[in-house]
Order: sequence, then structure tokens, then C-alpha cells
Amino acid sequence: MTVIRFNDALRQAAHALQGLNLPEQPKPRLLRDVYGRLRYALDCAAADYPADALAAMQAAQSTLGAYATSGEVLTRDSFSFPDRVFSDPDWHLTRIDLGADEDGVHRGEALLQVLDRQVTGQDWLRPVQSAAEQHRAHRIVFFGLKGGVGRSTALCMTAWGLARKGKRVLLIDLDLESPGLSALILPRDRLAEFGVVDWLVEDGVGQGDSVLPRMVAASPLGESTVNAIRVASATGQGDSAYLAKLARAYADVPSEHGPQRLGQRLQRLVQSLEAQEQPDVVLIDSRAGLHDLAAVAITSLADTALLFATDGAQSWDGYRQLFSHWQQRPEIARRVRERLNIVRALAPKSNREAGVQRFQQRAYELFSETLYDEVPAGIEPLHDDSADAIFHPADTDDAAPHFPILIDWDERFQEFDPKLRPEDGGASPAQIEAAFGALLKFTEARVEEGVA
Amino acid sequence: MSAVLPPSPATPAVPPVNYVQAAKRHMLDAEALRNDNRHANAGQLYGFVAECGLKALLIVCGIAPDANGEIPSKHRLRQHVPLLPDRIVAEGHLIPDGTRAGQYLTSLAHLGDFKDWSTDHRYWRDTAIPVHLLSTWKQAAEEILQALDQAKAAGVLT
Repeated sequence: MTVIRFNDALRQAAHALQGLNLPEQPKPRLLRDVYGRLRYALDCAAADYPADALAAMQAAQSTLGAYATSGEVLTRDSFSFPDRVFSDPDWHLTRIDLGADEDGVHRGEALLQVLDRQVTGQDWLRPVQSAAEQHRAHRIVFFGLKGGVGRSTALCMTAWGLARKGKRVLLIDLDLESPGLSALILPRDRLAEFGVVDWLVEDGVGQGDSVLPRMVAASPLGESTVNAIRVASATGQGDSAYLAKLARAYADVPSEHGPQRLGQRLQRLVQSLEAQEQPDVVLIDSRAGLHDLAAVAITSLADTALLFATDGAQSWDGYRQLFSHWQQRPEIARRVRERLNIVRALAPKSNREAGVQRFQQRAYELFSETLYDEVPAGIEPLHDDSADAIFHPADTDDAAPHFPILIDWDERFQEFDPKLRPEDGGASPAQIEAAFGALLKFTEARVEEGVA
Repeated sequence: MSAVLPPSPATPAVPPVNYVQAAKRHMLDAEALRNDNRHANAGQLYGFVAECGLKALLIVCGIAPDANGEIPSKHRLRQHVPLLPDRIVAEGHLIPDGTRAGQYLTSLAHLGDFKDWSTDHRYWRDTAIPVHLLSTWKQAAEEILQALDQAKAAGVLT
């Protein structure tokens, strides 16, 4: 007997339904549990569904082997509050590739409502409302699959550039497991009394609001700019209990409307800081890698997500995994893809043109094969009216998500201290412009669009 | 070769205790009594919904039930409300799976709302029972049933 593995289970569960004689409504759904096991679910009482159809679904479910949660097909009778379960916002219409038949002929794909119950990672699929819908400042998240790609330095330079143009800038360090932003942008004695981790712990006991006014400090980097740069660090001044707090920071906390998850809590924190600080733009340093904190930052907080990459397999493979996760849920992919932008970090100066071309082509292929819509045969996406609803920018479209924002490698910015004045070994405005000019121009335009 | 022994009378094939079913049953009856204005006994049943629901969640969180399907006798968490929720918070180290406990137990906002509820109410005269707390008890019991729904959807309660 063939052993069913994780990847086969969803495909087999979807394929098995196609051979069954089921009523038109309600459409069968799939609930995938925390172990990846599956059950069919029907939004009706068991008694209102034909008994033979229900039995056929139970039989199909049993063929999933270790990937069937149980023999039970879920109905409204399975729950005390079925409305809450069946209207959960985490149900997503999901594309399931049905694989090939015995003759190798591809079976196409099925589109089913799937509810994924996960221990972590749920926030990759919870997109935020836009800044305009929520009447708030534009948020830019800086993300990298790994550290060491110059992300935090780029964030500091962006803050400086935007403040110089008269924007009120708020920085929030959500890289809680590698808190470094504040060290880069604030002298130790200028740190605020409390950090983000303090808010998370205090919020757990219902008093997050009391630390809010004492968790933002002004950076000396803003002393030479028109407007101040305000910083909410991960840690507070002189904190010797950071790890003890971090161990408790991610807990769900009780609320009137059920437990509040980390994603909801961080959204509340960012909204509270925005209400208090009234910034024009919020720059968020995200944790690196495919971690829950990054999921919250990119999907649930960002209006613009800058995805830092170098031209290596680690970058491309990692982003392909993430984009495929969205691609399988078309409605999420549509909401997320236009806020993304690839940043080519640490671009080498030797063979620059060829390297840039190659990077741009790889980024284009990645987006084309995952998040951009497929272009039906016979339609010219750029010149055909019927292509209006198809999102598939050309490879040369410099406003498209795949079109890389370039940051050239410059040894001056290795182990760089942005707090230093040029005369003390810091960088001059012209030098910053030379390396980060494209990023500054891009972020300024994004913030202006948001204001408009 | 050892002979196959018949099951001992002390270990029934199907354990009689099923906390999930019991919680749901008490809820249905509590609602029926409340709708019929029989608030004193409705209140008593909401407390049993909470007790059974919490015990079901404790098993989800790794406490091994005995042969009857119950939290073992002499276990510190084999209690009625209001002592049971107090001990869940104060003696959380007794719960093997702390991650699940954080998800299903300690994130219940109304866990403390049974402080004026007592099993002894079954002996009390009508006017002495604090039936003005009925809606509070109902809300707290519903919250626990919602946590059971979540555990069911997550596949940790089958």
C-alpha cells in the first residue's frame, strides 16, 4: 500500500471528491489540522445531508491513511458554535494541483475552501487593510531571508533620507530575537525606558498602555534633518531581563472576543504608536527568515514590503517557497503582491551591468511563475483591453514588484555607524545618496502616493 | 505464551467519562432551564459546563486520564470550579503541554468568573443563590465551549 505523505494528502482529498456523487450545496470544504491531517467539512447539519453522500465522503477520508484526523466528516453538529467555525476569516479559497493520472496526463486543479489550523505561520495569510482604508501613515517593512544583507543600515539611511525631506519618521524594531536597530541608531544612554518586548509582556497583564509614552526616543540621526526620527526599540534602557520577557512575549492573551494572537497584538501596538507619534511614515525592521514575526510584519502590517535579496540560491529558493504559499490562495496573492518590492542588496561593482541584468531576470522569472497572473494565450498583456484585469507587468517595468531597487556594495557602509558625523568617520549626504539613492527615491515616492 | 486475559471489571472497554459530551449536554440543559426561568439550577449547570470543559482541555494539554476517562483521583487539578481555574493558573507546571495550555486555557478571559459559584448551591434556599450572576456564568461557560471548538478544529481534540 502506498504511504500517503503531506504533499499527497491534500491532492488526494481534493481528487477523491471529484469521483463522488454529492449534492451541489453545501460545497465540501477541507480542514487541515495542526499535524497536517485532513477532514472534510460541511456547513450544514448532518441530518440535512444525504446519508449515502456522507458515507461516501467518510470512505474517501479513510483512504488518507495517517493524514486523516479521524473518520468523522465535520458538520455543524461537530461544534458548539458552528457559525464561528464556518465563518472563520482563515478559510481561503485554495488552488490544489491534482497531479497526473496513471497515464501521466495532468488532471488540472481543484478550487476548494481550506481552513489551515497551524501552530505557527497563520499570519502569512492575514493581509492588512491599506493605509488609506485605515487613515494612517504608510508603513514600510524591511525584510531579508537572512541577516547580513545590509537591511538595518538601509533602514537607517531611509529614515535619514525621509526625515531630510521633512517627513516625520517612526522606526519600530520588530526583530526581537536579534535586536540591533537601536544600537545602530541610538546611543545606549538615549534608549527609551521601555521597549517593544516590555509592551508585549505588560499587555499580557492588561497594562500595555502604561508603557507606550515611555517607549519612544529621538535619534541623534535626526538632529541634522528637518524632522525628528523617533525610535521604538526592541529593548528598554539597561534591561537585564530581556530573555525572560522574550520567553513570554509571544503568548496569546485573553480578551473579550477570545484569545488575542501575536499578529493582532502587534497590529494594536503599531496602531497605538502611530496614534501617539503621528508619523508620516513608519519604518519597521522585521525579523529575518520565514518566522511568525516576519509573517506579521510583511502580511499584516506592511503597505510596502522591501524584500532584501542577494543573487544566490538561498534568496531565490526561500522567496519561491513564500510566494508559492500565497500563490495557492489567489485572493491572498492578489492582495499581497503589489505591496512587495525586491531590493538587490550589496550589488557588486565588478561586472555591474551584467550582474544587474541577471538579477532582474531571475526576479522577473520568480514573480512570473508564482504571483503574477498567467496570461491566457492570444492576449497581449500590454496592448489588449481584455487584459485589464490581468496583473502581469513586463520584465522592464520599473514600477513592478520584481524590478529590483539597487543598493551598491560600498565598503564604507560595512560595520557602519550611522550616528557618526562625516568629520568623525560617518558618511556625507552625497555618499549616502550614491549608495542608497534608488531606495530613497522609491520610498519617498511610496510615502507621497500614500499621502495623496 | 501468556493467555489473553479477559478485561478487568475495573477497566471498562469504553470509559464512562466523556467530558466533552458532558459539557455540551449540561449546556443544552442549562439553556433550557434558563429559557424556562428556572435560574437557580441553570446556574448550577453552567458551573458543570465549565468544570467538564476545562477538564477536557486539561486532557488536550497532556494530562493522562485514568481508565474511567477522568482526571486521576488525588490529582491536584481534579477539582470543581471555582478552585479548578484557580489551580490551573497557579499550578500550571502540572500541565504537561505548556504551549497548548497557553493557547486554550490561560487565554480564557472569563476564567475567574465562577468565584461566587459553588456546588453547595444545590443545598441552598432559592433566595440565597446569586442568580444575578447567571449571565456572567453563561458567558464564561460559552467561552470554554468555544475553546473546545477550536481544539476540535485544530485536531488536538478528536
